Amino acid sequence: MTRALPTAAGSPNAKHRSAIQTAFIRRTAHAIERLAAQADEATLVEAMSAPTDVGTLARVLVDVGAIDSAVAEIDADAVDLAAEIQHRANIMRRAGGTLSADEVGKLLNISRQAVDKRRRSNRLLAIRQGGDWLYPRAQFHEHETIPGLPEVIQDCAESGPWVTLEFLVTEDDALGGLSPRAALLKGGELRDSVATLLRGQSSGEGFA
Amino acid sequence: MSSTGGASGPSGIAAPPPPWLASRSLPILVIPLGTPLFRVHQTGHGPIFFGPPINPLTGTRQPPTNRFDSLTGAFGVLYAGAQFEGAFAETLLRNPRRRLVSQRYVAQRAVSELAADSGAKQPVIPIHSSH
Repeated sequence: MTRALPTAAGSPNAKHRSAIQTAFIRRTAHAIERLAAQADEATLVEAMSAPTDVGTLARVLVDVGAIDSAVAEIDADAVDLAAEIQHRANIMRRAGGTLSADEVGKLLNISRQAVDKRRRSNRLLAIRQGGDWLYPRAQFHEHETIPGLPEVIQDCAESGPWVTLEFLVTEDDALGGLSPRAALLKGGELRDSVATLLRGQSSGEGFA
Repeated sequence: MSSTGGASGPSGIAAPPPPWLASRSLPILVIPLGTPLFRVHQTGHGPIFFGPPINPLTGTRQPPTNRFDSLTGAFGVLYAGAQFEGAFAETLLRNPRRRLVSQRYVAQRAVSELAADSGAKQPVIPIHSSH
């Protein structure tokens, strides 16, 4: 963990950091050093198995936050936030990761401009990360989007892309234990069942 | 709680009921005066609403959406819980495997506390399922 700071300071962009960026890095690096000191070896080993660096940090935060009541009492929101980051990492893992806009264009055999156009018209699901749009793999099957994808994106639009993705890849008893993605791929009555779930979700006034 | 709104009970191509149903009486419960019932609904809709909504163009109900909706649209259903927690969980936390609910989704919904007044001893049907 302590290697992170020298590496960051030595990065090509280090000279161009603003004062707030530098302060942010110092403060968070200090927190990471404390986390490394507090967590036991098993926790660190488990955290290092996360597929992303953000996932690694989230796992340690959740674990140490749960153990260290001082952290939890002083900054309970931080522990909750870390748990949410870990949950989002789990959703993304179940979604099979993401593709860039260029990769989506190649997969669907369409131009980069056509990818952007589909995203803007709610026919592709994308998550903004930094300045880029990332496209979860779960919305694709072979060289096409899964059937009914635009309806899913449209009906979940008010809740945002993360809720949409969680809906798409999470098993549901109302679908016989299948995820909406799997149900849409199977088609037939299951596709109607997904449409019913979406109606219930958007109206949100009855019991499903 | 259901509202017939003209037609009297289900009709059409719904599957026939199971044989044992003929010997069972409908478990209608008359709730005592002032008993609270909790309902979670969109802020743009009134607290009293029997769904699915009726299409103003056709005069027929939209397709069944929720667990106890009429398959044929012959009657409407108002969903309410005896406790707030039950109504909240059934509408916003339906699938326990999912953990994300957007703040915007919650902000667009309200909870109303309903109570029968002296002029309407509202009969309700307690309904349960394995979900």
